[in-house]
Amino acid sequence: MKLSRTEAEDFLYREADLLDRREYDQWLILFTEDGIYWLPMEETDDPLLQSSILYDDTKMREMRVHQIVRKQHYAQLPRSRTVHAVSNVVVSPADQAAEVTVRCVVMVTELREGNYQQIGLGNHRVFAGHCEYRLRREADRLAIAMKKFVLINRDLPIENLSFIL
Amino acid sequence: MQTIDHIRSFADCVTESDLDFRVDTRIYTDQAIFDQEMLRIFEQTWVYVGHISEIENPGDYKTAQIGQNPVIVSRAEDGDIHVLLNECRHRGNAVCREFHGNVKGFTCPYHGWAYALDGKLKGVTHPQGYPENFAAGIGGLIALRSDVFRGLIFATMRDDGPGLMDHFGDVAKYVDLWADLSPEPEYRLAQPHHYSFQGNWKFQVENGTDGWHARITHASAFETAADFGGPPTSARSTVGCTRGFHHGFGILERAGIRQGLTDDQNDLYRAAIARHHPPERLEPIWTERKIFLFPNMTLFDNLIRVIQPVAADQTIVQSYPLVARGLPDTLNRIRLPELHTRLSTAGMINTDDLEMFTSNQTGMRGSKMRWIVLAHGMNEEQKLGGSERIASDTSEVPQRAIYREWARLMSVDGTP
Repeated sequence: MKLSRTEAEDFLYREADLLDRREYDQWLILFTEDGIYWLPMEETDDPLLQSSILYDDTKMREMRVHQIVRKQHYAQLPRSRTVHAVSNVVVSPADQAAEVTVRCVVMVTELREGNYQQIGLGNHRVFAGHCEYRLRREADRLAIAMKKFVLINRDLPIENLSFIL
Repeated sequence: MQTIDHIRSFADCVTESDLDFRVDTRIYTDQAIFDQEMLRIFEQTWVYVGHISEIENPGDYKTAQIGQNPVIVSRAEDGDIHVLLNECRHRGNAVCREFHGNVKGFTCPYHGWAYALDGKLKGVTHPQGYPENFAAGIGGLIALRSDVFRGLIFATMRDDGPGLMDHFGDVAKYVDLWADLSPEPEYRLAQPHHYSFQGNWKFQVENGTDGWHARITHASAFETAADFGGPPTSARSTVGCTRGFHHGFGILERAGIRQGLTDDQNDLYRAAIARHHPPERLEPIWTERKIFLFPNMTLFDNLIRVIQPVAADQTIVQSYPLVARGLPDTLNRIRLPELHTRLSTAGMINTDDLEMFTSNQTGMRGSKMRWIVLAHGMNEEQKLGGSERIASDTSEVPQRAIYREWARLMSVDGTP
């Protein structure tokens, strides 16, 4: 599969924009049917028998979004505002493979909007890490087979992580 | 010792009558009270410090805290487990600076005092600066009394007082049943999730065995699960009970379903347990329990939660997912991601609990409202044999057990 850096960047920017505009239902559609959204805690060859902050298949992603978008999910009431910045994009050449690996740096600045007199609201927080995507071509579109976001603070205490990174 | 002149006695912070039970809001907000809790509670009772699966081999160690005291839990060459103060006898530095690892001993990075895995002083650098045998007379890392029950390692900073099993009393049989959810002994701990919140440590303490809040706070998670083919909300949390014991222990108990598993997978799991136990023990093991072990640990069916107080309004939680032994890996590989979805740092259940704790702390910042109420279900509470009390699953029986023990320990002047 061939993929230019520009094409990869366009795709990643579109995802970042969907997340920042909180179009979480649209974000779900970016994944393949067997796609995985993964925030690992340790690098391992068997993520299902080790700890992860999350390891979401399609159903778990859909449930997570359903709770945020359509339910009284107090941890997102009020909601988070985010700015996703994506850079240092590198596409691994893989002409023969069905998927292409794209690595990048992602920095997400987040704050909870609303009444800042409540503890926990209104604090600027930064979530930074290295992201690895496995992208696949499906019909006429690119789709995410794996989004693995390795946070630099993955094994340090994190406060309420209740939005989509 | 700090004086707390606005409180006559810590026992007055908890009041109980026939059908009323109240707790002073200052125990959540006052840093001077927090400092006393670290001395009078954490340094006076048994505290969980680790699990045998974290230190399986000689030379393995992990670090933990008892109150604000850093400790090392190590396994020596002969296989014995030692719980040591992580504090060099020379100038007080932490001699072990990692969460876990494997070493031949511990050497202080400041002046090079070296200790064996059992804490004994192996030697000091430049010994000629001391009289002969001077350093040997000071001794090794301070060793704490410790004991192991079903893989769980506990330690106490008191040299006297009851042993671990006497301390557990009536709750021990439930911990035993919990451990048998790993068909073969004992559970393996995966790496912990670390999360924090800007609130008092006791909010998380009260929460794990609180069956009442789940229907309100977690309605969004339960409704979501139901919308995706899980059990309907109405089937949850309606069958069960709360139990309270002496020494602050409590249980929230429900009919056993292992979440995330299909009926067939639940049957597979039960069959794995049945291979190791007589038939009459299967239902008691299978029952779902959240067991709070005072002062700062909750056992879930596949999670160990350790609550680490940082300051009156700051808490860190280490949350260890559990992998059952003797269970087909196909089941563990379903249960772990499911657990992460509910209870990790980003869990659909957990994040809403944390939101309640900061909202607790927000509400209690002032001083006008002096008392909160923990009286729910006192009108139906029954005393069983020993120290055990029981009531319905929305009752605050476990929370009352916590504060009876809190008041007992805080009223003993155990200040060193």
